[in-house]
Amino acid sequence: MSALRPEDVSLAVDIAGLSMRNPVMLASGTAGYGAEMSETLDMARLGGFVTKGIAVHPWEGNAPPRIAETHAGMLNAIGLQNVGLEGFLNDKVPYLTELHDRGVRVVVNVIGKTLEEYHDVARGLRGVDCVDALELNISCPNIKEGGIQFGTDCTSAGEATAATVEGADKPVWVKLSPNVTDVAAMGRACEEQGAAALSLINTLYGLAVDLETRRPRLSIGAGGLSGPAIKPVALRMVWQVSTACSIPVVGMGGIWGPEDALEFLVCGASAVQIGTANFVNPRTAEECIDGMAAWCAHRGISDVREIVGTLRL
Amino acid sequence: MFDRRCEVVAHRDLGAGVRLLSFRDAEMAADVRPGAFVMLETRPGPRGTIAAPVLPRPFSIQRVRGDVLDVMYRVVGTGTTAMTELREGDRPRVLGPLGNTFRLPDPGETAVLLGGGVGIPPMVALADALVARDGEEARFEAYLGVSGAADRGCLVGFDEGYGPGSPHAERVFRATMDGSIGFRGHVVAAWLDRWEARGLRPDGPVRLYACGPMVMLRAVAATALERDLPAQVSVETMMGCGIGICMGCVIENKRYDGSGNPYDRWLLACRKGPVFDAQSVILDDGGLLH
Repeated sequence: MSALRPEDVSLAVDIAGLSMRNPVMLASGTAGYGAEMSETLDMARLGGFVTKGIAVHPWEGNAPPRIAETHAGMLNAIGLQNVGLEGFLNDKVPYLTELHDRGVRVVVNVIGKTLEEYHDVARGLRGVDCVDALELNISCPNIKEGGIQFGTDCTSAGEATAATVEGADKPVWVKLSPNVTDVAAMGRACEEQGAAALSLINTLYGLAVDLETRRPRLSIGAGGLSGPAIKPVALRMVWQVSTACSIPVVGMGGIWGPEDALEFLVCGASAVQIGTANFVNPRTAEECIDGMAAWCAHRGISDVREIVGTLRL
Repeated sequence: MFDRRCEVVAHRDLGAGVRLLSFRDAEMAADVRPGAFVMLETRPGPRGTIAAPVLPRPFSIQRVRGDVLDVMYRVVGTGTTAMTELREGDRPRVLGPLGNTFRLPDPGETAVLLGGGVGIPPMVALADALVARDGEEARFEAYLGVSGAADRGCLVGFDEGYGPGSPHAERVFRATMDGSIGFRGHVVAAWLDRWEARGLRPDGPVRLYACGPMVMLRAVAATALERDLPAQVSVETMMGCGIGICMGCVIENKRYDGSGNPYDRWLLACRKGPVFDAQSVILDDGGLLH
């Protein structure tokens, strides 16, 4: 085995025709619209960045408490607070253009309560040069309507995918919910309706209780569980979906460092997203990029793509 | 803002679960303004490991001594329990300084500092800033409330900075619910007793500053409103990241105008705060803050 230096390892990947300099992205809803992270992370090193979800109109989000720590994770019920399409185009696109021009792939997470709203956000993002792809969010558990209902039924998921693809001039990725019986069937339904890639998993629906008050620890009751607690579920689902579908998979769920990220690749993900870890260590993404290269170099692997989907069964 | 591993240089047990953690970072220390906070990793695990508890915790900076920063905390839950294991020489991750700062009083104004329990630290930072600016001429009076003598560790910042011998000592007033130290009653009652029952209100304009439990901040806000006094409060909310990305720490803007921008309704305590005009936000934590 020839000795490789980390800088000799190619980390470049391709997600349905979209080339990325490395497989590491920041997950939607865990890094704002990008600028918020720029003081603590060298954003230009990222392979990609996924924005907070964007709806046609601004959504207010939920009352606090919105977060609660749990064992090896946290629950959240932010409620997809977002500035809306117009606010996004006016206020957020300038920074994202800068990021895009520095070689970071910009993916806009799209949210809606109806098929029309998904379609309208996709249409509204047509011609916005800094946007490389859309990520359709059909899997957020924290709103009363939309979101999760599209994410737990194959027919609805396919319809939401088709509506978004129809409105968009960019590749549409679909972010899948883990709160289903057969995640592979969900993935296939989205693929059939034109999804370019699948990203998973979103949060697991969970509940935390304050025993003294016997009240939920989140204002709205249950919320989305994230963090290391969900990584085994995420790996299993990435493996199932990547086996069942022929479009690329972007994996996420509790990635805390480079080894976690590499495990997702082994299970079939072509790229990964870092979420909750950003709150704990804002430099996790950089550490993953460097650590993945070092891990590959140490084992004589010159191209990170060599390990994608190599789970030995 | 700095993202560092900082060496713990002292960790004092002040009794009744109250502790003072001191860590060293010259650049961070030089950047601190009164009211600022840090996010602190509660247990420094080896790199890449999953330390439990998962999330860092926010703490107001009480005092900067050269290149050392002091934060005070009370052991109330899993995070602060884990923190008790920090030892001299440990290097927890610290992100900071974060947040906004108090608007200092104008010349001629008297600052009235109201601190409750582990909400006292920002008042220490503010007193220190006033003394750094105005020296012996600094015009402030501080009302500090703790539950009782067992809890007097919360007073350490004022006891050590403005105790006997300090030119400001006679303007520091202590209150306990059981009367074991100073005034018997809560801190707002102590303040009003001095000003109104005993007629010892300072001459000239005043500016109020408060940090403590939400119930205390509500009392301060209501009292300030009745008397038309400007007041700033430093709030504690459930905070996951400290830098505006987890969106967890919001507090509701009482002056929200229905503009449709949700970021105007739900204010991020980490970015827009933790210091707010007392009349501008709804001081409610739902009773769920630990």
